[in-house]
Amino acid sequence: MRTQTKIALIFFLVSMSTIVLLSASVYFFIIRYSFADFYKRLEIRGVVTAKAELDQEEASAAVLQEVREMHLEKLPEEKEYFYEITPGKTFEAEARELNIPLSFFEDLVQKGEATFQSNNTFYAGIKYQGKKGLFAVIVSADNYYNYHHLSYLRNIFFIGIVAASLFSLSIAFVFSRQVFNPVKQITDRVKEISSQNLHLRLESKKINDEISELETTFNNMLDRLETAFETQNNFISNASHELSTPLTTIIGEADVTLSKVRDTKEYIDSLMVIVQEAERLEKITKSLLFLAQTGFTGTSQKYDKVRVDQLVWDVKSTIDKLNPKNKVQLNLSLMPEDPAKLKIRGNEQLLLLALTNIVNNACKYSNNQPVTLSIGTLEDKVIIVVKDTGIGIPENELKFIYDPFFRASNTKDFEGYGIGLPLTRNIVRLHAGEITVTSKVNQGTVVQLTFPKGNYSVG
Amino acid sequence: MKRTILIPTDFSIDSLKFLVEAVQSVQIGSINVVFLHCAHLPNSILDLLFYSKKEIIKSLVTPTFVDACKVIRNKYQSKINSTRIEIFTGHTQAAFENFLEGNRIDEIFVPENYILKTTKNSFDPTPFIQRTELPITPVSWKQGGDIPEKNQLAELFLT
Repeated sequence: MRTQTKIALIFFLVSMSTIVLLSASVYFFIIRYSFADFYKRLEIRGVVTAKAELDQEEASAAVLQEVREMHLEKLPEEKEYFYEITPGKTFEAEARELNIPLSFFEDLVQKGEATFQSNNTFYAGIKYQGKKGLFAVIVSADNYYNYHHLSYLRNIFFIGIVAASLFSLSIAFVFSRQVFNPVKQITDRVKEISSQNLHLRLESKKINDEISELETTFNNMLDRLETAFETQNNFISNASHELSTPLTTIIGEADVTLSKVRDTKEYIDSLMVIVQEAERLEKITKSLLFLAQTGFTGTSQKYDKVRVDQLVWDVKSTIDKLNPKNKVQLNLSLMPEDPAKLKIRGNEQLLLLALTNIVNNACKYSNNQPVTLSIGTLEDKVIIVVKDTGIGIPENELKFIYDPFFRASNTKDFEGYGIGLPLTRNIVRLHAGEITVTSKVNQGTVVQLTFPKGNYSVG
Repeated sequence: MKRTILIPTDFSIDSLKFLVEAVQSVQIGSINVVFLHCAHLPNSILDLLFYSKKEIIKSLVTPTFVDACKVIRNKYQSKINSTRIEIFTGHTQAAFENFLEGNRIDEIFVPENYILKTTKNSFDPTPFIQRTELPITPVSWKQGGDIPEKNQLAELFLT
């Protein structure tokens, strides 16, 4: 059964049982009250009649009769019976006559009062000590209320319960649909996301409730997934690009050398070139593999303190290995005096990958013009700025630069697959940071990364 | 030894570079920095009634300027004791001298060949500064030009 239906049914059952319980108890207590009330009325009539009939004082009898007629309504089928109680008398004959059980009379004699009900006829008996002796006074009447009022009440309750059940059933379904609507939306949206469009995200609302928490969790998961995915893609694109140059050199050198028989010196020279290039190839492969480690160690990502200045130096050395011709300059002129302000919480591997991507792009698209890498801190943020003087990004294309596989229109002369920047953006997002890119065509690009400072003290 | 220095500013990142220059010239002790901005008083009586320097400063200062200020303060944590922004609304030399005395200014840093950008409501304090008797230190300034990161925090990093 769907949870939505289940919730609706539970809601329906709870409300119905409450209503039924309430109606039943109201009905039950009304019956009890009306019975007790009716017996009381019968008893009063019994007393008054007994006083009038049995005491036989003309004056008071007339007065009592008058009072009775004035104040006591004549009940339907009202009858009075008087039986003298003498010791040892059994009321078998009377019981048969009135068609009521003998125990009624026994109760009456012993306790002084008794009640009995058969169908709608109610009997109330009392003991009356009159001047002529001890009497059993029995009054019987039809209970009109039982007949009409209670059956009317019963009908109201039945109709009411049926109406309430319809109402609560519809409310239950509307309510459960309302509750599960956001969940359904999330499900529909997540269904659309596959490995082809991992960059899609759920739109999370600003309200801080369980649903938006779920959305944030999904988005975080997608961030991590996409990062892992793109890291692999990044490796492949880098590998195909970076490895081809030395390989071509090796193959070309070997081909040329083999084209005819040469003397020993020439062989040595060409082998030297091959060794050099192979060594470079090894270096590149190593650093690419180093970058391709996704930072996912085993099951969980390791988040620890990262010193931004250390990170920047690592980036510089990685770039030096990948691209020996680079002119990356570290600008530490605005580095804070207090080293505690340089610590952020993050995954060093991922941050290194993100920053290397940016700096590598800066070198690539500026044909190894100088690239400045500077760091500075605010109260609670660390800022890394990368500036190049390369080809820049056209202004109307700036908003697409984070889309996977997007390449700006002026990048035809450069190899690349449009993977690096989305990956970097994801990594920055995973670290709750911000990335801003400003650019002017043919003047250069400035990338500003902002990361929240981690709460680490010095040491 | 604590000194208080005055730096005229137009709340651009450019003008914050004078602060860096000024701080670098300090060898010992720390400084209190007062940024000076000159603004005209409003003409209408209603505006005067609700005139608040705090509101004026709030409307002029950009978040980028505040952030850039913080970066510099972090960089020269031991040298910069405090920074604050003051609005000068006077029109006479005497008022300016009074302002300097009131804020206990010891030295003024004036940028060379930089013209402070003024708006409709503000004016350039250079004429007043040049006529004071306080020591004035000129700061050389290099034109940044039309760079992509104009008036962004990144501009501060790239000089």
